Amino acid sequence: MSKAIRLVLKGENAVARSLRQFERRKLKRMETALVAGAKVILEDAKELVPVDTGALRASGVVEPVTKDGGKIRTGVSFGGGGVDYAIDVHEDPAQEDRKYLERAEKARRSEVRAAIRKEAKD
Amino acid sequence: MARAWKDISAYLATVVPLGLTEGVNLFVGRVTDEAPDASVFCLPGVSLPPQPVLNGAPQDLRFYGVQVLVRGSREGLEAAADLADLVRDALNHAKPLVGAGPDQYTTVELDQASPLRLKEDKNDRPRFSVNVTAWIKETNPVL
Repeated sequence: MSKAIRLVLKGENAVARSLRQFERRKLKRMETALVAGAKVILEDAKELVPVDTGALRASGVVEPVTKDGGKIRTGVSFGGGGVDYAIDVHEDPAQEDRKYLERAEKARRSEVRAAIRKEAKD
Repeated sequence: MARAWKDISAYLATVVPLGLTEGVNLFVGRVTDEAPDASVFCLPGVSLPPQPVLNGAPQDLRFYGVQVLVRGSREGLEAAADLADLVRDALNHAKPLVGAGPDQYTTVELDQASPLRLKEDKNDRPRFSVNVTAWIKETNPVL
């Protein structure tokens, strides 16, 4: 003679809803940290970028956030509009202040990653 | 302490299809006026801060940025573009080939998928930029 054991879970919809809300809040905090990090990199890059007319400096932006499943992306960019020389200034060895964006990003990378990681853990 | 731009240059000189010879059409450290129009220059790039290696040894993992600038002759845009692609491809497979023994790099990683095309220089010569980050474990001389 066998005895059966049965476990009934009630209220699973509420649990799932709660988990989804937790996940959404966590993703929102990570997004906030990501954008804050991008803004810090942008401000640093604006300090480093060589200024002639100021157009290149003014062209620096944090790009809009995109979401694809669990992936959240943004970017920092210079150029566009009438400024078609951002890459040349960035990469030209004759430019004393070349690599203005890369220097800013590499200097801040671990700090920004740590801030995002913290939001993912909390 | 590694000088990654020199090591990358030495590696590129060994890749036969590139046809590069140091001091002839391959130069290290700076862009020289004496170089022929069609030349390649290996330059220091931007590096990341080192990270301590957690194996008990006084070692750091260091990340050296290197910029490889490919320049063509005035009428040589296509040839320069082709050479820049070949340099990119050579660097994409450079990991086990740059350095030797304890000076061997653990990783050589492309920073961009394709060479960046720059505006022509003041002499109307086409230019392309290829960026890599070379990783190497090094003993910290201070510890």
